[in-house]
Amino acid sequence: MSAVAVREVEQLFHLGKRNVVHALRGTTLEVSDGEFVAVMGPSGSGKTTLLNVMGCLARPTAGHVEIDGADVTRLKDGALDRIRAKDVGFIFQGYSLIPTRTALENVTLAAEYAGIGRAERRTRAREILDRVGLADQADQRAAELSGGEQQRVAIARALVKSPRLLLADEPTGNLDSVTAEEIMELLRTLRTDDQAIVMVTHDPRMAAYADRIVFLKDGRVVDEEQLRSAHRV
Amino acid sequence: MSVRYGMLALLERRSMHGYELGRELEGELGDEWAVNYGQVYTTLERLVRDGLVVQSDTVEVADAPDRKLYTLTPAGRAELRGWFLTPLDTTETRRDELFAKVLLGLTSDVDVAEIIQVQRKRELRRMAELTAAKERLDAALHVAEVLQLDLHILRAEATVRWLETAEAKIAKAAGSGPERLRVRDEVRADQGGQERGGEARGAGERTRAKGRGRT
Ligand SMILES: Nc1ncnc2c1ncn2[C@@H]1O[C@H](COP(=O)(O)OP(=O)(O)OP(=O)(O)O)[C@@H](O)[C@H]1O
Ligand SMILES: [Mg+2]
Repeated sequence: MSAVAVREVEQLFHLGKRNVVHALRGTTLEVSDGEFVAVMGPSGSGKTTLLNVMGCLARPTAGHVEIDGADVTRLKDGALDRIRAKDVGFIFQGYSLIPTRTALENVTLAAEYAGIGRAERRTRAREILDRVGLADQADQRAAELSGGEQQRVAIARALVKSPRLLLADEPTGNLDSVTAEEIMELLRTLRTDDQAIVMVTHDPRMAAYADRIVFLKDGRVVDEEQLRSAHRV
Repeated sequence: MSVRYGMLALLERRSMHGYELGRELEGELGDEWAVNYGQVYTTLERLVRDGLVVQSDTVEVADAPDRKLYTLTPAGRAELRGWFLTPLDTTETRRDELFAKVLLGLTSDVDVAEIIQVQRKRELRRMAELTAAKERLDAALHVAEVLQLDLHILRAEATVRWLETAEAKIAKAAGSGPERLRVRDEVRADQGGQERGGEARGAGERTRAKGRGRT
């Protein structure tokens, strides 16, 4: 089964009365359970827009989005919020942590949104922070952590709810190349066999960790390359 | 680099026989550095002649010819240090076939974007294989292997970055006759600094989606 699929998706942005940006033009992409897909393409080709649609952060102008085989395109906002909180983990280039909260609080909060009980979420948060190598920094405020450490917290936050789908938009874009590699290795080792990843990246070295690369151009998937057999599932 | 400096570096650690030198050079730097014993002894003779190494001792080995032990001299030590600290000239001098394909492709019937895309996929696939090989290794135990894989990965990356740069600049200039020549100059200049390809990326890429419709 596919973890996420977008079918014939169109995304239009209206900038004033006359100006319309056609960000996605009949984009179709299906990602299997446990598959790791990298999305590459020039700036403005619609990569972030595609990720937002996949993660139900934006509603497409036309077309369909399926998560775990279920069509979510026409769901009400509340239902979409729940799917996002429970089934989708996001990792952004700028980390997007709450700077005044501790690493532990940032992770616990995500578990809470996902509906995990009070006692369990603290245990899980501690455990996942330990696995990303931040056991000692758990009680430090996010703003006080280095970029690499903040991105580890963001990975912990995304993984604490064991989502079906991880979406990452240039997760290593702000990091030096050795730290970037460590982040990719963490992602690959920490996710479970049935968790799918879709990662947008400009960095060929990061894309080389994926099972498949999809090339986007002018809002369309124009090509793809299978790098490894997605033997996980 | 000649085998010469590799041998001097090994002899800096301790005195060795010719046989050991050949074996350790390969053991240390990998298969790509395999040498035959003829090469080892010719090199040793030259090093002795130049006063960089002396034959210090002969060890008697039962049922085998006596082995000569070689030792680094102070002059050899100075020569080695000079090699370590003198920057290498890494300028690419060979004719680059990829560069030729892209440039000649501009005036051919072929779609340059396709030349670029097939090569990009090839490089990415190779990078994925190298990355997978690296993931199977423990970086703390296999420093030499990991660093060698990194070198190949980063060189492939430079090629991908150059391809992206070329694609963007060609797309930007597509259509206008005289511009074509300017593209050639830019591509050529970038090619000289391929290792720095990453920095050249952003600007051209940004204008690309607008500058070109796929034909
Ligand atoms: N909220 C928005 N309102 C208006 N236009 C938008 C909006 N979001 C994206 N766009 C436009 O849609 C197009 C695709 O943008 P998108 O952010 O998806 O590109 P991208 O491939 O992620 O680029 P980059 O590599 O620079 O991040 C662009 O032309 C952008 O200006
Ligand atoms: Mg983007």
